[in-house]
Amino acid sequence: MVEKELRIEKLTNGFRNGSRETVLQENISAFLHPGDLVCLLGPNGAGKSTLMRTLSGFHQPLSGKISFSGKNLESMSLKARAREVAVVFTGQINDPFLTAFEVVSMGRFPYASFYGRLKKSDLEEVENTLNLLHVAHLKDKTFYQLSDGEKQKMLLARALVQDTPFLFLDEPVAFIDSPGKIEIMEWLSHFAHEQNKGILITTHDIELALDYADRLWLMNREKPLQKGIPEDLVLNGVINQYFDRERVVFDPRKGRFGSGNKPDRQVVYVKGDQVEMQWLCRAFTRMGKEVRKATAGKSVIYYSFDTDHFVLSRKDKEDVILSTIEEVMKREMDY
Amino acid sequence: MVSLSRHKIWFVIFFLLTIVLFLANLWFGSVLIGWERVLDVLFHPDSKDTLAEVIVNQYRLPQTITALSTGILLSLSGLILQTLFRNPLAGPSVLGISSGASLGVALVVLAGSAFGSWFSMTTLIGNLSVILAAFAGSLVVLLIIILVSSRIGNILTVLIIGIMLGYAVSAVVGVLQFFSGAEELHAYVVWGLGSFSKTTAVQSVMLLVVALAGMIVTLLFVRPLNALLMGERYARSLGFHTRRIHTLLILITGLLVSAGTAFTGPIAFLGLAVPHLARGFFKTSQHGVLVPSTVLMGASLALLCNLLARLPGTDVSLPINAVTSLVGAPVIIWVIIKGRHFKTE
Repeated sequence: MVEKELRIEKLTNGFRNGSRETVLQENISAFLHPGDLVCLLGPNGAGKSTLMRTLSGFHQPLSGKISFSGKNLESMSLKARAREVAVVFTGQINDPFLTAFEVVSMGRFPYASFYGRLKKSDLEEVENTLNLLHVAHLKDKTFYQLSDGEKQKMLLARALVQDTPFLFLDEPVAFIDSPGKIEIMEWLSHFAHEQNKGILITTHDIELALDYADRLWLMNREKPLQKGIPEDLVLNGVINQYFDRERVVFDPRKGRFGSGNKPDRQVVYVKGDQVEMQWLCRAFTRMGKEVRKATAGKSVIYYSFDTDHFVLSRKDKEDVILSTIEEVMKREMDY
Repeated sequence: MVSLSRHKIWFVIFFLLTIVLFLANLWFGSVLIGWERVLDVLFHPDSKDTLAEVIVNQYRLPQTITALSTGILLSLSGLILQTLFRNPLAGPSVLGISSGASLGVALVVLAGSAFGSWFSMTTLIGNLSVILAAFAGSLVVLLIIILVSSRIGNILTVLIIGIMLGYAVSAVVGVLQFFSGAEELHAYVVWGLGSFSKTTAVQSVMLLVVALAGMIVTLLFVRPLNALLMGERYARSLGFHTRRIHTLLILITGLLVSAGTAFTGPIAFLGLAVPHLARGFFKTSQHGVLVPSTVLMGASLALLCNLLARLPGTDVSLPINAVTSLVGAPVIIWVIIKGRHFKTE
């Protein structure tokens, strides 16, 4: 039994237009193993979608080799590919009558009879997957009427019933609200770890990728593909190199991007680290102030649990008690 | 799967409707013949009723079979093209195939006068050369489209090239019209108005055989057609050779349209409207349901239009294209308005 894996060897990716070649990345070598959720991260125009299209056999690489479990992608029939990898693309499906159930059951087409009739076991698999993702109640709705999050879950279900060791998803969390994004990422992580799927997704969302990816592939037009687990790539500063712009830098403490330090900022002193204080600090940072932990003898702001209010405690003056962050901000700006 | 049995009941109803309309086409006309006499002619070939026999067997029967077959041919090709191009306004005329037929006919009918008469008018109309010219013209355009689609992967490009080819061909026809004599021009215009009554009994049966064969072949493509509903990329990721399927489907629809147009002239709106009626009625995009329902609805709508065009009881009859347009255009307007409705949601 050959080990299941996607192997990329010395791949050069790009476009050929007549005799002119536009190279996006050169000399990519990487593996995707079952059980791993890999996020392909990179700024817009880095060639993430093109690489994904190349890996699923839709786009001819300029050179190099792609193989699934020891079989060369180029020499695999379309039918064999359909049993190796299921793909979720971006883009709308606007058919006016196609139901969610019909969309999901298309994932069973590689296993259907010539006339397209699905066996009872196929239909059961579709039902089970819909139940698993908690979308069974939506199955008879027209696909285009579903919300973006529901659509994405149906497309994920369609890819799952295709029953392949590998899943590729292009921008699965774009255009979805935050709780919906987390839900999708939780499912992807679940299917990688519990059902031993090898999952590759593209995304812009670095914070989400850092939270959920087992491995990151970082992409950039100028630099070679970097691979590694998210935590290492944060600590060795590689993330910065791939995304930083002037004024936007990655903050390794917070695990997210922010505007870099501005000089000559006014300092505000705070005490305590309750949720309320964290949000207050956030608001100050946004207003361009520097937040520091209080030292003795300074005016300080803290949150009082006795009164459920923010307290501005100033030397030689009476304390000011305020109930909302907006009021605190207004007060502080006046000074 | 409960809905499948509901669909079957409707299939039976539409099948019966087709039979009723078929018989009505034999019964009603400028001369009213009682239905007993019609049935007598149909089921007793040695009938003594010569008047009824001539009218029914030589005129109404071939015309009715032609209407039925053309309805099936054009509606099926409309259905395939709409799915193939994922465009609700695709129809038999979009690939330039019916324009190709027009060019063939124009060359035979009009070029005669433009380049000096080598045909006499009497042999022109309704004879085999027009049918062959139409068929050859549409096959030439079809061949070009097939060559293009096998080289170019993008189906939208193929669609646009088809439409442009149609314009170019129409321009050539325009030039021919400009230089031709009044009589030939009239003959060409009459052909362009379409008619179900130019076929002999044998030709009409041939057309019916082609229509039924087209239906069977299309049923073989139900699964790839369904896969194309989600777009080319998904179909390919599910293991379908989309480019090969595109080429085959264009070839099939091209042959269906060529056959339909060659015998009757271009018939407007049937191919465009019937698939929408079928989708709207059965509220589905599944081709397992749409292929049979498009066949039945296409047949019955063509028979209905033919009956209306005949203006039963009067001596005049309308050109069939006028009737199909009056019936078809509102359907398309309905589709456009509905389409806008769901896009702005």
